[in-house]
Amino acid sequence: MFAKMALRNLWKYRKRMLVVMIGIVMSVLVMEVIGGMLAGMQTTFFDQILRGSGHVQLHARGWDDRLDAYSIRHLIADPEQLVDEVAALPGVARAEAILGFQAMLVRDGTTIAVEGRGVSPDTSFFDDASTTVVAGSFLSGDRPGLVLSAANARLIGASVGDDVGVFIESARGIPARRTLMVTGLFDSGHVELDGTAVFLRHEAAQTLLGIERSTNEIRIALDDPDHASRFLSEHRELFDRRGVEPTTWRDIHGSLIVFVEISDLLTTVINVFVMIVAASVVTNAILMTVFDRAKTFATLRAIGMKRRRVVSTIVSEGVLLGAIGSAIGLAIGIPVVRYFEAHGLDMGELSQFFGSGQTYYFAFVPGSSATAFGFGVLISVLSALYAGIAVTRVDLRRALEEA
Amino acid sequence: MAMVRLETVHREYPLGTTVVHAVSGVSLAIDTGEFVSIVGPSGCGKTTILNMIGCIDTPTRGAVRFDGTDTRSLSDSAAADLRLKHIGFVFQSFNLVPVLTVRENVELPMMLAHGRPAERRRVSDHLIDAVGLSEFASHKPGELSGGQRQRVAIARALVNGPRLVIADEPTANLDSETGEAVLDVMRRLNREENVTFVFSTHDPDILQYASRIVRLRDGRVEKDNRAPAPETDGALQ
Repeated sequence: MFAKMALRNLWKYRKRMLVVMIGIVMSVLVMEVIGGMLAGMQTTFFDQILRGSGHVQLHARGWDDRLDAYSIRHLIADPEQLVDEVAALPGVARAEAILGFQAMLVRDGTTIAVEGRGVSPDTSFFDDASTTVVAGSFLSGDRPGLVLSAANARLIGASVGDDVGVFIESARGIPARRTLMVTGLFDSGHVELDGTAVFLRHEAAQTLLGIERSTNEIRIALDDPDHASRFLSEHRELFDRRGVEPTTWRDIHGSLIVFVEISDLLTTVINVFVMIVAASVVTNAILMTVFDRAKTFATLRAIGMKRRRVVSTIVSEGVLLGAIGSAIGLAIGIPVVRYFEAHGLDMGELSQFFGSGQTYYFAFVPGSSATAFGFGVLISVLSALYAGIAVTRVDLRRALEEA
Repeated sequence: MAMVRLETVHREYPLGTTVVHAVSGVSLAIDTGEFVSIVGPSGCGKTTILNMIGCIDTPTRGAVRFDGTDTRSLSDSAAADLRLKHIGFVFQSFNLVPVLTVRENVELPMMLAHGRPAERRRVSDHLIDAVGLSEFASHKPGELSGGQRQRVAIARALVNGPRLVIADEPTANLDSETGEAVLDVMRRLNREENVTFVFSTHDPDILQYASRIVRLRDGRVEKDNRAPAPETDGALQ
């Protein structure tokens, strides 16, 4: 009968209950959508940075003491052998040798500074570039040359088939000028990649820099990034023997991981803020609804209902309201998150920061939805509990008189 | 031993910077089976005395004893238990639960006392029939007249078989004919079920129903008369 009473009260006071319901729906909706948005940011962020950097990087011993970002004085000898050896290890998805260097491109009196990367034609660490080729090809064909961004090509007035002057510092520290033909243009949409990166085949980069059978980095992708530390400790002997220093993605992106942790904190702060706003709206509305019925509750107490029972009757209404409101909030919020998960949201330059190009993709996380649902119910239950305690604290005689 | 005993009871309420002496030194004993009317002008302390007898309020000084137990010694929960099991209430403005039907309203105290569904149904149907509302059992209070609502309230007050029913101005919101009918029901239940009734009124016309009239003035007992009430066969409809 008490559940029936709760349901009928919800209907009888439906206008007030609607206010409560809207408060709960909105709070759950905001939590779900913001949760999906930030989860999407993190997912995209991790996916992008780990896809580019790999999960483990091997460098020659002493790499940490280098003076420039792409030192070619700290080299790993016989990289092909080490790549094969590492690729055969359990838990390794792929391994590649990458030769990074700094260079300047010169054409028609225009000079731009770039970061060169000697990579395999089928590299998977730079698929933002290799899959967005707009002219020519990515390091394939009989005469693979230089692949640069369409934006940089426009800057120096080059197109596919044109020769470009490349200034580099050789392994012996001697400045040198070479001429390479542009064989491909890419347009990744990522400001940083388009602005600085040029690619050529790994062996071509070795020739350009005058280093034979060496490279300055081996990049490794694991099946599970969370096993990176374990992978290092398990194969420490191999790395020591080959004179290389391994680094995990946590060390490589330390400052960025702090940013992700800050975004977690931001999510919590937003959720707490939403909860406070929603709780104040919901509590006020429930208080009004309950005190409208102070006479009924006083009568129930007068005929023998204990305070605890009165409170639990009011809380049961809160549970119903919270569950219905939260379910509606999720019924709206989940499709919104799912939509932007599939189609993305065009956020322009802002999303560049998260490494997701122009379009920003949400991520649906069931745990986050469950938390939003729980918060919605909790807000309603706590508000109802407060209202229940408040209405039963009123002196019974006075409550009956005022009624 | 009297079922209810008021021993030099005082009740004062603070009102701003002053104190209102609602009841001043009232002593009274009510025995089982009595049909007591407490009368007097507005503000003479009728409702305050009924509230104290019904464990809704406690005296500032003196004692109210129910079966010898000082009601001030009862916790909120124990007082609720006492009201549930031994006292029925009929309020001036009926105080029915608007979202429940007549039958559900009547069953409610029995449900609080953990009565079994079948027993609840049997007792509530019997009482609804006794107050002449069988055909309205599925109606909500909002669909009933004032007199019908008050009869529902009487049935609700009796459903747990209380020893005492307290009725605060039960006829105040009713026309005289309906008021008489409600009092007839109360009187009949008093005689047939030996339920003790204590009710307040300021209507001199309904005093004929009382077997004992306690007249109050300014919070004090002015007169306490026992008189046999006339036989009544008033209609219940």
